[in-house]
Amino acid sequence: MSNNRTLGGLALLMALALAAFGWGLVAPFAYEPVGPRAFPMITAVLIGICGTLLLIRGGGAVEGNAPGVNLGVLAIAATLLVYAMVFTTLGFVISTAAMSLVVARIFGATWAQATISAAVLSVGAFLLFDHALDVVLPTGLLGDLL
Amino acid sequence: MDTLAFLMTGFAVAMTPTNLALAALGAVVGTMVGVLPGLGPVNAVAMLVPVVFALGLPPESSMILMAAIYIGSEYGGRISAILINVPGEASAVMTALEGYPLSRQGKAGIALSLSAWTSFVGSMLATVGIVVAAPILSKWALAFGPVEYVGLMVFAFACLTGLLADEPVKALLAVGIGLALSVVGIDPNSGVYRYTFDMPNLIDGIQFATIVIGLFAISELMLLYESHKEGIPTKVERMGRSLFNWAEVKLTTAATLRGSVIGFFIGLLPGAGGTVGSALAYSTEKRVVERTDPKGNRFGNGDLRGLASVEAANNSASNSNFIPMLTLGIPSSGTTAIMLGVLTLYNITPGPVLFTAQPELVWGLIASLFIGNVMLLAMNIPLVGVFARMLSVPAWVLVPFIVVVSAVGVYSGKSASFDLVLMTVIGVIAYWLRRMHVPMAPLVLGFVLGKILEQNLRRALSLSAGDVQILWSSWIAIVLWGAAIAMLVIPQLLARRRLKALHLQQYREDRE
Repeated sequence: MSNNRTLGGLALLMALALAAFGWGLVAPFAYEPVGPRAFPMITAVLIGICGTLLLIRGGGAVEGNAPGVNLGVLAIAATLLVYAMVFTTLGFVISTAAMSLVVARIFGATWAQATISAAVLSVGAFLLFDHALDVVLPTGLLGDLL
Repeated sequence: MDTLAFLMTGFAVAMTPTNLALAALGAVVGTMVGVLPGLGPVNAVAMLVPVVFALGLPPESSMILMAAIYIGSEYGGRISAILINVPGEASAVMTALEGYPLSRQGKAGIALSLSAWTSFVGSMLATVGIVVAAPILSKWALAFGPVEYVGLMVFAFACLTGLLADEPVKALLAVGIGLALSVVGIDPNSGVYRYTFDMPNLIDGIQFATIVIGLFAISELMLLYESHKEGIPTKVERMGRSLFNWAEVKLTTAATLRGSVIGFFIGLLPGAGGTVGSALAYSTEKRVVERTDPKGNRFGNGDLRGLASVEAANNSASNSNFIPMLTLGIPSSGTTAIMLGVLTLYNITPGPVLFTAQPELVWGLIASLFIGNVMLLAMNIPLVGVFARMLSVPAWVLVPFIVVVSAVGVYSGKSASFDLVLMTVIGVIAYWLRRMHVPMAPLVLGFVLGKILEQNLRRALSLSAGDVQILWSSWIAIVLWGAAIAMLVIPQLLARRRLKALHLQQYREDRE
């Protein structure tokens, strides 16, 4: 699947991006000999050197996942991303219940198990964090209910 | 006698009700995450970063809590290694070698209680070692200016790159990525926005909590899914007699002491920790037993001496790890790197001045190590069955819980869902990097030290009006740069020589 060449290539890309977007970082008035550009450039060079070494050496192929595993990992990543995006709009309780349901199913829970754990976790965590620990969480759709 | 007075202040800090409660909490949480294979102290500590701020804990309390989790996990890691042959922690790999055969023979109870005892001995000896050694090491700290700091940080990166990683290039790449991430945001010296891409959420940089939770907790979920699919055996053998007897203590005392000493000195090396220490202690003990007691040698089939030395060594090493961390600001693991990061969030600069600038914090932490270890021993012998039951918590309960705690933690910093998206993206990238064997500890350290390194570099070059030669203008700086180069080069040479010897041996065997 992927190996050191992939990693090296991506590292080189990152170094180039750092350098390209960093080249214009010049202070309008310079009070010191070293401005805001130098350090990002040093970093880009460091990453670039590592990337080049990895590209040249190659090897280090990583075993691919068993079939189906990649799909699960992808599903987890997608669920988390959606969770992150609806967190404030839907509110903590609803989004957490939905996320928990899906994630529990991915990890092999039955529908009943997943539903119960989602209900307990979403309400329990809201009470714990918002009410007991004073971390203000978004109420979202449930608005005034909470 | 100064040291004793400082230690007493330390105990005064550690014995306040809050700090005692935090140490106990940390010990319980640490043991629990240590038991769970895949979930380690680094994930727990990462998820705690925002919590300690939300609770408004003072720096010493945060450090006490996190340190208790760190040492607790070493106690917990041995439980799953012994009971189901799956090390809960990387440093418990060696524990499984002798511990699991013992539990197959129905001696799990003895193995668990004895290893708790030797863990305790190793930890306590190492903590005494910290009290003796750390003040001496921190004496020469006062001569540090910007020039020396630059050298020190380069040395810190070199340590983690050369010693911790099998593939130094990947570790160096990780440092680079960490440094790059630390640059994001407004440059305090010039007011220039760097890599913010017009996103207001990036102006004051990426939150530390977002980075560490993404790197450790989120990527871990995906790794957990892999191992969940492979299926982890959770069948627990019969425990048998639950407490070791006097004869067993006598048999293992020498091994325990040897393991503790080896672990202590390995832990002193910045960058090396429990994993290296326990491996070295195991092979040493095996050789000693083969020579002195060939008849009683049961190595590989459950030798108590092997178990004792390994557990003493890895606990001793993870305690003495605090010496390079506190005196130089060089962490040896992801967990201690996060602890350093938390210090910087309190505006405390990790490094040689820590002992003089923050005596209460440092000595409170050291005193709490003594207290934490006593608590852990008291908990681990009678309650081992309770902790072992953690192994039967299903992943579908655990994983949503981790997601929620992570999300709340990240969200609480700025109340912006932007950080949640960023956390997820970082988590996915970190998952791939970890699969590619890119170590995470150097990445965290790069991020933590990035800003301090840049500031000191620019300050040093301001002093010399841009002349780079100032970076090696003092003897301390020269020593640090030399040591950094040695750290990068020597492990490479040693590895190459070992490889050559291996080839030579192969060649000879082939000819015979």
